[in-house]
Amino acid sequence: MRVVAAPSNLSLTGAGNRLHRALLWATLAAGLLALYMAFVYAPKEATMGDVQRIFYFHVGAAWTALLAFFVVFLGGLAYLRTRDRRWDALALSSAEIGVVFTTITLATGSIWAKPAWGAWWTWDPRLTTTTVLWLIYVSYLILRSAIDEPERRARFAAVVGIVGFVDVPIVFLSIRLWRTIHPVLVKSEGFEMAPGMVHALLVALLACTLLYAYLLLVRTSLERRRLEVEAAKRDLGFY
Amino acid sequence: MGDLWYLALAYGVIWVVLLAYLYSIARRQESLRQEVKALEEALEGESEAEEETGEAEHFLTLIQGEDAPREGPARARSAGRGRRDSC
Repeated sequence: MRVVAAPSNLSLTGAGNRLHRALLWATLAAGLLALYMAFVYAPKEATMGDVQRIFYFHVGAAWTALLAFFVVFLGGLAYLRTRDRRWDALALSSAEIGVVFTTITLATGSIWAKPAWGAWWTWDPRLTTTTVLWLIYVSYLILRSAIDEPERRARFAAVVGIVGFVDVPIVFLSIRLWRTIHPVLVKSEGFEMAPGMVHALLVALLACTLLYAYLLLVRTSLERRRLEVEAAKRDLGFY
Repeated sequence: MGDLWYLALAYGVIWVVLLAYLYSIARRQESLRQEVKALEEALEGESEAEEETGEAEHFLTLIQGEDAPREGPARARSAGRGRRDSC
C-alpha cells in the first residue's frame, strides 16, 4: 500500500500549533490595545478633530505593506539562489498580504483626504507612488496565475518581486524628494506629534506587524501544504 | 458628513478588507482539505483493489501452482488509474 504524507494542519488558527496560537493571542491583544489607544488614549487633534484617528491604522497598514514587500524581495532572492520552492511560497504569501495592506492604506488615506484636503483623491507623489506599488504587486499575483509551469512561474515571480521592490524606497522618500501635501511625520528632530499620539502610533505599528506575522504564518503554511499535495499527486501519477 | 462618519467608514473598510482576506484563506484551506480527502479516498480504493487481487492471486497459486497466469495486478492497476483519473 502506498502512503501519502497528507497535510495534517489545515485549520485557520493552526490548532495544535503553539506558535500559531501564541501569535494569534498576541495579535488580538495588541490589536485591542491599539484600538483603545487610537480611540481613547490619544488626544483629539486640534485642527482635524476625530477624523485624525484614522491615521494610526493608516500608517500601521502602510508600514506593514512595505515590510511585506521587503519579504517578497528577500524571498525572491533566496528562491533564485536556492531554487527551493518554499522561498517562493513565502514570497507569494507576503505579496498577497502586502496587497491587502496597501489596499487598506489607499482606502483609509482616501477617506481621510476627503475631510482633510476636500477631495477623495489627488495625484500627490506619495499617493501616486503608492498606487504604482499596489499595481506592481497586483500584477505580480496576476502573472503568477497566468503561468502554469511551476518552476517558470516561481522564477518570473521572483524577478518581478525583486524589480518591483525598487518602488518601495521611492514611496518612502516621495514626501522628501518632491513637493507634497502629504504630512511628513518623522523629521530629523523626531516625531512631530503629541506624546500620546506617538504612543498610540507605536502600538498600532506593533499590532499591524503582529497581524502581518500571523497572516504570513497561516498563508505560508497553506501554500506549503498545497505544494506537498501537488508533489504527492505528481508522485502518484495524477498529473 | 461629520468627522465621525469618515472615521467609522475608514475603520469599517479596514475590517471588511481583513475579513474578506481571512475568508479567502479559509476557502482555500477548505478546498485543499477536500483535495486531500479525495486523494486519500482514491488511494484507499487502490489499496483495496490491490488486496483483493492479492488474495485472488494466492488462491490461483494454490489451485494451479506457481505457473498460474497473473492478470490480477495489472487489472488492479488499471482500476486504480480509473479512480485517479476521476479525481
